[in-house]
Amino acid sequence: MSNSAAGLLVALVGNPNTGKSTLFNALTGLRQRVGNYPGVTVARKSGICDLGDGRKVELLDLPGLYSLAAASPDEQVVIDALSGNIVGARRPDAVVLVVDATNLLRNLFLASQVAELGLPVVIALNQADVAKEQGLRIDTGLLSRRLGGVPVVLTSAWQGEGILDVRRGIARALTEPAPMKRVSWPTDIAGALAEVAAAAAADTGRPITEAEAQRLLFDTNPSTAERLGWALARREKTLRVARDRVRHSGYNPMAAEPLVHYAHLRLILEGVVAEGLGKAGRSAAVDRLLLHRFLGPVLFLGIMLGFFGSVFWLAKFPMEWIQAGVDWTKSIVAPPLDAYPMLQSLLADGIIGGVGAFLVFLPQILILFLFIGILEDSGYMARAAFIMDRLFSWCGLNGKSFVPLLSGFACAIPSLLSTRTIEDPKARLATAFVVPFMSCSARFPVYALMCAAFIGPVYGPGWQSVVMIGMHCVGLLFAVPTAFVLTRLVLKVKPQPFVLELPRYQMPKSRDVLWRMWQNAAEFVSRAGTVIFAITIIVWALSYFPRDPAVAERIQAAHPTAAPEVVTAKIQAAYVEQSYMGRFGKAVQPVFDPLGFDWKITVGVLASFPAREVIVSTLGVTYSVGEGAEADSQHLRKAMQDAKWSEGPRAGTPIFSLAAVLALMVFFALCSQCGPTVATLAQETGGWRWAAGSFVYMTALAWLAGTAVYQVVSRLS
Amino acid sequence: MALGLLPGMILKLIRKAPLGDPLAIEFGGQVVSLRLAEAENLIVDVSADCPIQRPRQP
Repeated sequence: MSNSAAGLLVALVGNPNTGKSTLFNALTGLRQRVGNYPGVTVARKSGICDLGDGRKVELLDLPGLYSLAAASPDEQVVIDALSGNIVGARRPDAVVLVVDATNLLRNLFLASQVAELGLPVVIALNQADVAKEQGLRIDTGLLSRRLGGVPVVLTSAWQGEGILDVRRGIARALTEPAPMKRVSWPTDIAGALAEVAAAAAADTGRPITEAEAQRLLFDTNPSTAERLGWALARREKTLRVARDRVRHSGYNPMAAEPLVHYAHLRLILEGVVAEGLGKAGRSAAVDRLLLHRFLGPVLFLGIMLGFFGSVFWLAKFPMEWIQAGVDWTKSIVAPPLDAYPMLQSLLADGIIGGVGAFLVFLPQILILFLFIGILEDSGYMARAAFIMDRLFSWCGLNGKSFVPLLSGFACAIPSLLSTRTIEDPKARLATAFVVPFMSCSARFPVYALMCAAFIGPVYGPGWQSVVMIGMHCVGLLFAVPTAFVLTRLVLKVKPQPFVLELPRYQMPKSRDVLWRMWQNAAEFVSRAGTVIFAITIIVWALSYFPRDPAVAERIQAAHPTAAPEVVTAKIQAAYVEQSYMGRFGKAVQPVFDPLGFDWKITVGVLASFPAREVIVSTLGVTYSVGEGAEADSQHLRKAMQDAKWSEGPRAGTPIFSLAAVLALMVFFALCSQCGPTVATLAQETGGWRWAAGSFVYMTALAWLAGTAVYQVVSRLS
Repeated sequence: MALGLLPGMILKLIRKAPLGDPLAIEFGGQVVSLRLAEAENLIVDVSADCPIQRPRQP
């Protein structure tokens, strides 16, 4: 943000689970802005921090990471941001390293790597309250001197303690920057680094920093070399020779960096931490219960069912209010426009109806984000991944895939956003690809209508429940083999390491959780909202035009004695039939014929691209019962039960036979029938390739499965 | 290694996940989950009551 007085930028860097975001919120007081880094789906969070001396700086909250050896897109962003390699973004003027005071050695490894970048640093020893409780006493003065005079402050961001000291530390680091003490590399490693730097500089024609040389030598990941434009053919030999030199000096080249840093840090920390008497962590006791061999999974299932059950239960009421609000708005807006039917329809059916269909899901999404936030901040999310990992690892996913997949039963879009917590990019891609198979809540009204109209009355409520539950499992049935085939045969991943810290349990801080819920919801609305709005208008236009007044006159003339609402419904149906959408539906109906769909269902399927549940109101229109139809509408049920094929080989038989009903439900369970999901998938996977692949794959799968169901069931019954 | 699992460290197997994999291992004051496949790369000396391990040099 350029409005900060001196235009200074300070970055917040630290390991995951150090309370970094809590400290960020405390320093900025929620004066924040969330954007995206160009080209990657990593959120860029920044805010204004008042240093208390009249200066204001822009504070950048970078994703948590353990090491600068980049493995995930999040980690790459940190390295690029700290090195000033992000196009259009400045290099930070200073770095605040957030360190878990209870685990200095491990946390300072990252700090020591950041020191190699040569930026002024402030070290915030966070969670000082927990360290004190554990009996740890930290000599911050000694640590500061050993690190070369960089400011070291104790903070407990959760309690709001030490925030002022961090501000003062930043002010000091900016005015009188003291470089943090760097490691001294053993001669052979230093020599190898110099060789790499010289060769890379010669080949690329640009100066190579020491930090860049370290990344080139120590990382197996080629991202640094690729960014520098150092060709594989040229770098291969240099790196092999340099790594051999490291190996001959007695270090495994892949382990040399942490070994040297940790040895350096052990010396620095000598005598800094005094261990006194303190309480052992309560986490171990909680884990004895929550990770218990038998009780653990039971409690896990209980927690998950409780959480996600309440997503539906809690969201039910606000969803009803929103629905009522949308209907009310329509009833207010529509009548004054009776003289302008096109404008009326665009506003009421297109815009208000479309936005309403989307807003109705907002309560569910907010609550979902709230629960994900609580699970993450409490430390239980890592335990959930630990318990579930084995179930997912065989098909190339990992324990962290579980929550996105479970959230998929509410809505695919927040689930796709939550796949960002998966570090392994291929596991993340595979998880995102199978998320849309989970039976989201927009499919529910379709199942509800079909079951209530055709399964319940004929086969009884028992079978109705069986079919409802079965439909929720269909997606799961296909998701698992899809993930397996995708990871093993298409992406050809070898099983990736899955190392996961099980952090201390903590009480989530309501401000942090609510704030993140708000930010995620805002992102959801701005992304999905715009897409769904655009698609709604397009679908509205296709089903509205052309509008020949002769059609209405002809129907009025044909039914002179009928009640006005019946005539209106018939006129609406006739208009939809001859609209572009209706014509298109009739044209492509043969494609859906093997599934037993007539043109009206086909139009419903096509028109429900903005959101699946739209098919219910579309069927309402095409079956002439008016567009206010809902899943429990008696009229719509009756109209559909009475519908018969008027021509062709099936003439006279009911359209909604058991076979067609099951085929329709299976089709909806599997098809990629949601524009915003496809758009979000494209954004999250970094291109339209995977989104298009998902659309084609799911639609083809839905068609095949629907056809199979229709053909088999219609022959059996 | 970035998590501070270094040669000479004392490891404590806290527990196994309900399906036997992964393992929860404590070292350096933290608990970390490792899959069996990764844990196999650790060389652990269980002699005496002070187990010492060092990563295998690949």
